Amino acid sequence: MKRILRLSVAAIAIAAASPLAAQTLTITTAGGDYGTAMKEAMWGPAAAELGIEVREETQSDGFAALKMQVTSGAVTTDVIHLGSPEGAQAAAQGLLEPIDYSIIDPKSLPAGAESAYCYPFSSYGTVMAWNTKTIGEKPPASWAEFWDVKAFPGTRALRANAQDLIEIALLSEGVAPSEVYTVLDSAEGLKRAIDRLEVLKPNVSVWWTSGAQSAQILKDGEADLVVTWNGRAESVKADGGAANYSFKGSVIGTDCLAVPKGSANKDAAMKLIAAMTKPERGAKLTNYIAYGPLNPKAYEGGLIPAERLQLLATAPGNVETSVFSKADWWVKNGDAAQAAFDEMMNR
Amino acid sequence: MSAAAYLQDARRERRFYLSLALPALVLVGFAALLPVAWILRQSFLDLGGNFTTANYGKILSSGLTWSALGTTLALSGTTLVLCMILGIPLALTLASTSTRIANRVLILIMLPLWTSILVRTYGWLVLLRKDGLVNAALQSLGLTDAPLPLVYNFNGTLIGMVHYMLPLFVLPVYAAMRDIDSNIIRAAASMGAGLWHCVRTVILPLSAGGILSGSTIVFIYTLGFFITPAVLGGGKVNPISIRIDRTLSTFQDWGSASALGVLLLVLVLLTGAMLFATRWFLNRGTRHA
Amino acid sequence: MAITSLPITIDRVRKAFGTYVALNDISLEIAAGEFLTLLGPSGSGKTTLLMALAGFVRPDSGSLVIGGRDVTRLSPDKRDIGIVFQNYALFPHMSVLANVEYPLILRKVSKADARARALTALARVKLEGYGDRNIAALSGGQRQRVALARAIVFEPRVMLMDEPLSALDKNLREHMQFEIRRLHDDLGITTIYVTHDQREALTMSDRIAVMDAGEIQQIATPSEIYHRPKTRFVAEFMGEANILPIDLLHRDDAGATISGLAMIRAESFHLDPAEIAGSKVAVKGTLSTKAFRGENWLLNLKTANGDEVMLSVPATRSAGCAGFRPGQELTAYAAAATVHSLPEGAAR
Repeated sequence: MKRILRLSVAAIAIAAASPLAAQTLTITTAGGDYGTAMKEAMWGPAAAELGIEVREETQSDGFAALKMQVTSGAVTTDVIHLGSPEGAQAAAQGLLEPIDYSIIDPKSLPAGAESAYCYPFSSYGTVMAWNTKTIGEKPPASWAEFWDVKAFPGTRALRANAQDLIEIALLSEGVAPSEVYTVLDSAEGLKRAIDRLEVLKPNVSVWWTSGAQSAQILKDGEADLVVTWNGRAESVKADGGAANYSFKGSVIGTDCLAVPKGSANKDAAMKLIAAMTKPERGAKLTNYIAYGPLNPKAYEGGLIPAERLQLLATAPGNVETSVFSKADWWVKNGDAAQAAFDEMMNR
Repeated sequence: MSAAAYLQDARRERRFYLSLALPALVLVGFAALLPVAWILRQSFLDLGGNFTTANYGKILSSGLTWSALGTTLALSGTTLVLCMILGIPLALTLASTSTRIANRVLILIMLPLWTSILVRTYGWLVLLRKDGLVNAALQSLGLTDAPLPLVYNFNGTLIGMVHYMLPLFVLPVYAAMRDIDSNIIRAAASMGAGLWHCVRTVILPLSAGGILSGSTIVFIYTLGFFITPAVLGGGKVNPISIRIDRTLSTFQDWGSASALGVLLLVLVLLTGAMLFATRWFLNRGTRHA
Repeated sequence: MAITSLPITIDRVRKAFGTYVALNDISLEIAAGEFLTLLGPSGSGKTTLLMALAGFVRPDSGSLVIGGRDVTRLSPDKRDIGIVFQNYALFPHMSVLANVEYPLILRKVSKADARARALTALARVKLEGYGDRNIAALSGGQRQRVALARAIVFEPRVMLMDEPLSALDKNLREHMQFEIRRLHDDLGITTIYVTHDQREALTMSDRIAVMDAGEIQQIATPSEIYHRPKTRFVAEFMGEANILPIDLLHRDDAGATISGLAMIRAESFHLDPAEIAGSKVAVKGTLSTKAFRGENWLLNLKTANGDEVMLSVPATRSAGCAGFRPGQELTAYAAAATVHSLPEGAAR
């Protein structure tokens, strides 16, 4: 009898604990410095605020992990960190729950960065960088001047990938940042961008394939004008390399947070995303890594120190002439754009 | 002991040797054959996992595939020719010096093989880039006014590949030349053959097996080279291996990438078969000619 | 094949490898058409001398003159010397005919002419019909013949042979000795032949130069070398020689004057003094070992003062040998004419 009593007490204890257990969420990040930064600045404080427990998993290929979990029906993660193009691709393949904008404030995103399935939270810019020894103090002021090989006869290094470059190519022809995807959606838009790249091709000495390589090329002066990512350009400059860069006409890429289709804790996951991307948390992320938050409010009230602000692609003063890379467009047209780019390279 | 008992002993001995080879066979089976089988299977699947030949249709109808194929063959072929031009005289010189000196020089030649290909490739980058040592030397000697484009192009890739492959080419050629009885060469000389004649009519034919082995290694090895063109090619040298990487990393198209992999494998097998046939022909030549 | 053979003069040729002196101021005259054998143990310098003649070893000093022309500094391919190597050194990637044609093609002889001459050379070494064969398909003896044909086909002025028969079995070797000698007699090419086999040297040569430690110990006809060696080394190298102090010999005539060391060949001894006409010597000892070798018996005697004496008794007159017991006392007799006294200072 005594034994039965003890058992039923245990049963009550388990029953009482179960609502709490439902508040345990799993977040999947890329790990490394980036993952640590996200934990310290974003989801750690958010979990404390919400009073829930968050468990972290790291995956170098988040998209592959997501696809495996959803297609096998064993969804173990509630929030996943993806690159925006991956997010759009995952959405197109039906792997994500739609973002619940009744829980997350839709006004927390700047115009051009909206996304239905993967909420963008941090950004980086594809920028123009140059060798200060050969180009000097008067670098090209725009992509149009970047294309002007008479005024700026140095060699160029571009990424061996259509991404960002076709947007830049259109900017160089005077297309307004807000019009870039309208032009690209037109029948001749892609061809126009590719043809523009082909004009510059003879002056491109290196087509780089990794961020590290682009930094090396900039640092070594292998090319005089380099299209690279702002973080890479900044690290070359900070290391004392003869290099500088500008956010003028940068193409902004974003990383985003999403909830896998079939997550058992969908609503809690949405709440976590909302909490971890609050302005002060996005601002704090920049303490760790030069990826600017998307939320315009993060740039207000001195949340980010002024000297750090200049390093962020999305900071006021940097973001005005930029194009937000449109993940949806890339998911739909990426293969065609890439193929056209490769064929241009091959000509 | 009866004949049957002897046979049984022989069988037992064969089984024993087979069991010695088993771990290696299993390893080869798992490490080499399974992935190949997997790639073969993958190349016939569409995104939904259904059987299709569309991947092959796609890659074979793309001009990019054919130009990548051309680049691959041009790289491997030119690397082989350069290895022969540089390697055969080197092997000849080594074979004609004392074993002691030859062994020391061989260690020097082999030294690069002990460093990672990535390190060596970046080493070439340091030497050949615009502000690199070679260009700096050329300019300070007044041989050139402006830096020469030594890297981030076909030639730079070639330099890296030849540097990597040369030791692997020289070894079998040197071994074959070392194996030639020195009296045979003396005999040729005594009959009036000068150095060039001796090389052409005696040394080269007798080391043909080694040259063929070296050529096989160089050609087949280089067909799949990735790091060197990726680092030294500057995006302008795109053999099949780079095409596969691109298909995977930017298109996430496992089917087409696998089909390209199968294409590369077929290329390797065809080349192997050709070289095998040449070897067979050579052997037959020495038996009956 | 009419060949103008040439004389060779080797004048004070010296060659050292580090501290090791391979040739110690060797001088040698070889007549045109002569068959001279360089005989010696391995390391005696005979092969080095041959290679110096061929041009593969450059002397440190001295000169090599062939037919009045100094070839000391001439490269091997310009010396016009036929060489037959120990291991044949045939070209394994060519047919028999191509091997033999090789020196002719180098000399820009027309294809048809080269073929005809190669076939003649093959016929001369009794290899008619072997032209299309592969080298790998030939026996050792056949390969040796191809090597010979290849060496004579371009009518060299001088022929060098470096232990050409050492890889053959005994019967074939003896047969080939006669063949090579016959070939030499037919062609009359000045030939220098290197061997470490004294029987081969005796069989084939006009003269033999016995070499040791980089020097020529003696140069003479085979019979002279065999019967009248100048040094103990030559005496012992040429066959079963007994070197004995003269005073050990019991003489039956008091007139002869010999002193110091004497050499008596094992086969010069008789057990029956009646078989010897004229003056003779005798040596006494106890039998230590005996062995039957078919054509003869080999007996070893130990003399009272410990010298070993070897007797070779031909099977035809060996009655009684089978019954000898070790320890038995025996007396061996030799004709005084067969006792060769070694010159003073040759005791080495």
